[in-house]
Amino acid sequence: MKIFVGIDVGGTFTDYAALADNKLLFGGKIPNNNDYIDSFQKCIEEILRHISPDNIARLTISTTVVTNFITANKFSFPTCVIMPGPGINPEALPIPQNFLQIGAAMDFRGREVTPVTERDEQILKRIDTPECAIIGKFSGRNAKHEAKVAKILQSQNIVKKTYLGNVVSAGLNFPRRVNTTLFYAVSKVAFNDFRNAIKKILTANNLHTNVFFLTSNGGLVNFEDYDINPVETVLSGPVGSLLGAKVLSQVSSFIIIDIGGTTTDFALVLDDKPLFADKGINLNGYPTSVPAFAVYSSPLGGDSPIDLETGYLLSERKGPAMAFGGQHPTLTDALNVLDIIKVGDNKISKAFLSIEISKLALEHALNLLKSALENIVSSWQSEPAYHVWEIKQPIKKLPTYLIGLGGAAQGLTQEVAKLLKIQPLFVKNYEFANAIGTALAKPTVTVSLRADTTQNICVYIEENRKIPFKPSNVNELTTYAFKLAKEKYADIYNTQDSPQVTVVEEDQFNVVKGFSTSGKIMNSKVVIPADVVFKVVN
Amino acid sequence: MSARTGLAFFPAFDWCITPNHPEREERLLYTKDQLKEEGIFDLSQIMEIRPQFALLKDIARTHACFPDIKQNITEGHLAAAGSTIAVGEKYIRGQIKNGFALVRPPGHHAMHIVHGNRGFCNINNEAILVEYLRKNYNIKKIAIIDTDVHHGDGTQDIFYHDPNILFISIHQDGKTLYPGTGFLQEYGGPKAVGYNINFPLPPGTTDEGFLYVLEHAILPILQDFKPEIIINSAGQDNHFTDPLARMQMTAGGYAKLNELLRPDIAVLEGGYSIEGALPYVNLAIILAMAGLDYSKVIEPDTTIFPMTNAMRKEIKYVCEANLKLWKHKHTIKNGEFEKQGSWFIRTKNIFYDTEGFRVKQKEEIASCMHCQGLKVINSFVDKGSKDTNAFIISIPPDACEACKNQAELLYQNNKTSNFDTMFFQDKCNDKYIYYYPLEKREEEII
Repeated sequence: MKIFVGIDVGGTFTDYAALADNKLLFGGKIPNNNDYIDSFQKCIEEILRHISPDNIARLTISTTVVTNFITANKFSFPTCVIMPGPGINPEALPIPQNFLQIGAAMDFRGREVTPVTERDEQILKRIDTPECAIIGKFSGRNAKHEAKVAKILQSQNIVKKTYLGNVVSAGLNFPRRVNTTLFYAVSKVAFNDFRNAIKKILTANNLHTNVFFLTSNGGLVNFEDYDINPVETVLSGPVGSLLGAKVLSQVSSFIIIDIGGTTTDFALVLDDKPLFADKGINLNGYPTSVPAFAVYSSPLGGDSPIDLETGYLLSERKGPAMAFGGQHPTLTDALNVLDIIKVGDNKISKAFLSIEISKLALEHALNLLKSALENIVSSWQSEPAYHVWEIKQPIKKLPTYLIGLGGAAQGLTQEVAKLLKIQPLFVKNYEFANAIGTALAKPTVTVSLRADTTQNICVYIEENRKIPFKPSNVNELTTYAFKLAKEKYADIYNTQDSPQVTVVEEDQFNVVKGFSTSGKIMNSKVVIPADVVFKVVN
Repeated sequence: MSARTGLAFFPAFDWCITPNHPEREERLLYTKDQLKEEGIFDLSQIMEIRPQFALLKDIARTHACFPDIKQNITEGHLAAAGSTIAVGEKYIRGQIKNGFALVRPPGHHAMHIVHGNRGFCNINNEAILVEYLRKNYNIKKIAIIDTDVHHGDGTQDIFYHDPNILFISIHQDGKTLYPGTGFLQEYGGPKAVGYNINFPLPPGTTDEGFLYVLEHAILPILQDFKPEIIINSAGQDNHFTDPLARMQMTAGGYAKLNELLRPDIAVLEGGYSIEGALPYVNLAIILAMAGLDYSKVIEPDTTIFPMTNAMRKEIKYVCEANLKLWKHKHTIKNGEFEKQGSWFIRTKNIFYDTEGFRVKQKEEIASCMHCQGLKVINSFVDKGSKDTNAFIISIPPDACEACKNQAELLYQNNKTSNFDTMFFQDKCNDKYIYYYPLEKREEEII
């Protein structure tokens, strides 16, 4: 039997689940006592009470270690050297403002506009931190300047370690690249410490199986991969849960609603494909290029306190529900009063809250949820379109199923679905959805190739390297991208799988100099979308 | 009112006039790269507006196209015009504080009557926006400032008889550049004298010259006219690197111009220095509109030749002449039209450079005391074996009963004529009908 195990460590509980042959074998939750490693250890012990380590085909870990490290914000960024060149004043950009700016610059074709000068070197000599991040605009098109600055800093022993923008973050968007590089630099140590501790536990328990981490966009990275960007393991929103809902449900298009303590997250799966955010996630308010699912958050949850005069939900948490010993009535209490759910000591809820106020609270909650969903549709419908064919796409409508996850979910989901005139779907074992999704995640791969025949180059953007391929048209480039995508997939995840690859972007431009065509610029972006190994069949 | 600047970016990556033409897919590619790398769409001051298609009716409200609309446009045109309208809509509804339609293909050489492409233009995005806004919202007075290096002869033609639409074009002197028009004497039709203003400038004019005209002539005139909306046809071929013209503007200069003019809606027109100018000028305009610092938007290799005093003198003269004209417009008579009975008449000869044919037009405007006056045009294209003889009846939005009745009469009487095509353009009731006398067939654009 090939058993897939998933462990979700970090948060109030550490969840685990084991699945094989389209069935959930077992699952559980262990309360965290602020020591993730200890919780992980207990988790492994619990799992091995059910199955032998040799039967485990694969272990996947999803963790909020990096997320928590970053949001705790007790670190300081390394020195940040930027080469913004002409453009927006870096003081107006959403990046940490204590950067060091030098004058070297590249343009959009990767041509040098201004070289690294003596004056720049003088500025670099003044750096006095052990580590340094170096990011230039358009460094993805030409990394020469970043490399040169790194060389200056390291050969003169000014810094011990450098982090280069073009290596950490592919693609266009300078401010996001700066932030991604900075967060990569600060989180490496914490992540490696965590990874080493995990490794010890696995070895001690004779677990020699393939181990992966779940990534922010529902994919996998190999545990042994030293070059993992720790920021890619930041899970903003219910990534594991979304995949778990995909595993546990039999429908291919649905919305999931994950009702937490003070926030409710929505995510979407359309035709079996989770919807991606078109930009990256924000960390501590700074935008990054770390890809993620499109998660929409609404500021309400089971612990949202109720204003006793108006029945309105307030945004600042005042403690748990009264049914759980809290001092102030919350949405959970209101749902208890209306018999929509029955949790904790619901008699206390009923004693303290009137039906009238509870109804008002429910109405407010539903209105907030409704407008969040309306925002989803409207932001979908206003996505940019750069081609005629994109404008012609049919108007997007919400899927017809709603799956609820989280404690208050069961009761609220029914009401929300009624309001939106869509169908609520209840899946068994939803309380382990996170660990289930983690267990069965598959790699997601993005391959972006850019060929410029006037400069005789072809670049694999995500891997930041030139490839010796000379396409004569964009179809050839796309075919090659498909090949690379499948290779990358097999590299991460050694199986007989033949994953489905889809084309996201495909463009070809004639480059004209004078009056004749001097060449072509071609772009091709293909994706192997997030997916799960199998669905659970009841 | 929201504090965000709207940006509709439609580079039409799957459309071109021909693969090597300046109007090809590559035109806005580097601009897109620059905007993406800058992270423009992440800024909280910017709202990206999704492109959309215009309706055929939006075009019929503005143009009389022959042989018909569909044969003169592609989906790329509908998207450019539609995206311009999308920006206008968001502005009127207060969802943005101002907006920029960064779209292609351009349109300011497309006139009221369209027989094909001229100057890379088939339909006029700004004119379509103006007619759309007037029809759907209670807007009366609009100013269009065309800062493209070429005279905006299309926009001039469309609003030549409309005193509610002030058209100002600042361009390289027509004696030295396409389309060869845009002189001081083209100051508006007989019922709209003074509401069409041209600033022909000497080749080699720098930022200094453009800003001088803006500060000393255009802004005072606008202050006097008091438009409800200001639209800027922001062509960028006046850049010092542009291959098709000889002016010397910089990205910073354009941003300054935008900052002073404060257009509510800007629309891209020409600009063919796709590497040396467009990425920088477009970025600078967006930053200026959003109220952000554009001082660091500097082109590589900036070499500007300073203006001579002779040039400064010429620019000053043009400004003074136009200010004088504006002040005394009510006393001046139009010299281009001849009065025959109760009609003003003139004939025109229009060259369609892209298509390679000439069009002969007879234009008649009713000398009406109560409205702008009915407009009747006979347009003849000499295409060899494919001649077209077209007859157009155009009712202005403020038409009086007499002109409306006259229009109806003319339409009925000419149904038995031997024109190839007739177009009944009723801007008052928003009704647009093609009639084919030889086939006795009527087709309404809905």
